[in-house]
Amino acid sequence: MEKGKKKAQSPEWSQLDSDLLVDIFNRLTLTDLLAGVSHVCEDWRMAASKTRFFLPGTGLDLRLVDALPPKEIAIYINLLRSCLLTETTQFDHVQLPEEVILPNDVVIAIARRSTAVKSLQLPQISVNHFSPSLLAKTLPFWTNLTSFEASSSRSTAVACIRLLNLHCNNLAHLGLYGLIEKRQAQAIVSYLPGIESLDIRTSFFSESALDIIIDGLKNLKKLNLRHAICGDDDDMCDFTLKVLQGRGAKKLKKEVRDKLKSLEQLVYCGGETCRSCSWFYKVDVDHIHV
Amino acid sequence: MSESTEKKMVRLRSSDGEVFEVEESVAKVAKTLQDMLEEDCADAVIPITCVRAPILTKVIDYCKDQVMISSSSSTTNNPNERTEQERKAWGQKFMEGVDSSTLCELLVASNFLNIEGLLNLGVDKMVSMIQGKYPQEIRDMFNVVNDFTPEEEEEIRNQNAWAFERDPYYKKRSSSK
Repeated sequence: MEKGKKKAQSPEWSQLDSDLLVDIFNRLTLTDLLAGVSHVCEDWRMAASKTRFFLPGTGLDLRLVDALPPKEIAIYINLLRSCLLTETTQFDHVQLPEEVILPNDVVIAIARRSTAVKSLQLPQISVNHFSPSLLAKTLPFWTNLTSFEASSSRSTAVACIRLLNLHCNNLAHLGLYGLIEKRQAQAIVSYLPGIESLDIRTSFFSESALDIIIDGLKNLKKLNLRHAICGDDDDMCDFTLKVLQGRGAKKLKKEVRDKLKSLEQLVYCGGETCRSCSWFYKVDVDHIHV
Repeated sequence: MSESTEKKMVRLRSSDGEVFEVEESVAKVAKTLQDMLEEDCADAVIPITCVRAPILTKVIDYCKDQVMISSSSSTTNNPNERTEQERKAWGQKFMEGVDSSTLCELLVASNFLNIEGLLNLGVDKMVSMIQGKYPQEIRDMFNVVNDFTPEEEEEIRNQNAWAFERDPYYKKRSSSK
């Protein structure tokens, strides 16, 4: 606002306390805020960016962006950006949108404001959503993390694990959803050997990957395998496809099951006996001609 | 007002110099005045520097009504003033015909004098006036000048071109209000 511009507002509205304006705007719907008042004048735009939708106290939950009509998302993000630039509030928890992709500078600004965050759930770590290079720019702010969860793709999981090793020394819990092959399992074991809790629910994993994890993570106490599907090591890539067609899931071998018993806490749905997973086990992979 | 001699009177002066004499109980509806009166730091005439006479009249009307409710409530068998519905209807009637500049002055006055009920009425009114409107409609209604530079406006326009178009979704909302 320090552009040397004259206050052009009519005198009476400039008398209104700016906090009162924020109170009033707090009662509006987000749509009225984004499509209406934020375009009226600078003061109103500033007040709009201080409403509950942008500074909801000490926690920042941006999942509301996912529910916005597509055309309002850009306006919301612009206001959020100006809010993050002017305010210095520190957030003690942060929840990013699951679907909407925020611009990198906004994500970095959020990370800068949330250095105390201990637990973080990120959307998918993938090249076009939350890329590993963005993670490399934000994790230096999130060094206090003890818990980190994200979906990953085949190509990003290892990069993500390495970055966690670099920046988050206190990490105790890792949630990684996607594809857990030998390569990813080895990365977890060598870069994050100290974790106590691992969550790979709903992932596709190979039997030997699970083996590597159980043998390698000496401190592991909790493992979450709920609705995770086990497959063959050789062709996990095809396996995903096969599994999605409802064939090819492998039953856990007895020795693996025995090893799992030594954990303090195991969450497992039961695989072939689980109502939502049994479908994957219907046809044995050996009988299928691919 | 001057007939009720046994009641303590308070004098208020508006920004344009008009003096209003009201019962102390009426003035005390305003928290700011209550504090002043209780700490006994009020002068013979209390200057209300940011409120013009027509607005102060309306504010006093509101306070008188509040006093009337609270004093009559002790005699009726329903002690808690009006029902929610009656209160709403009364508030709506009170704010009826208030134009945007009066509304603004009322907001400033009730904020300054710390009269929560009146402030809420003003806020509700303003919210209902803004809902579903285009930016230009809001500017016209409240007589707010667009102080974005042409470049800024162009930028906003480009970013959010839709908001200035006849968006079917938004239009539907506007007309339903």
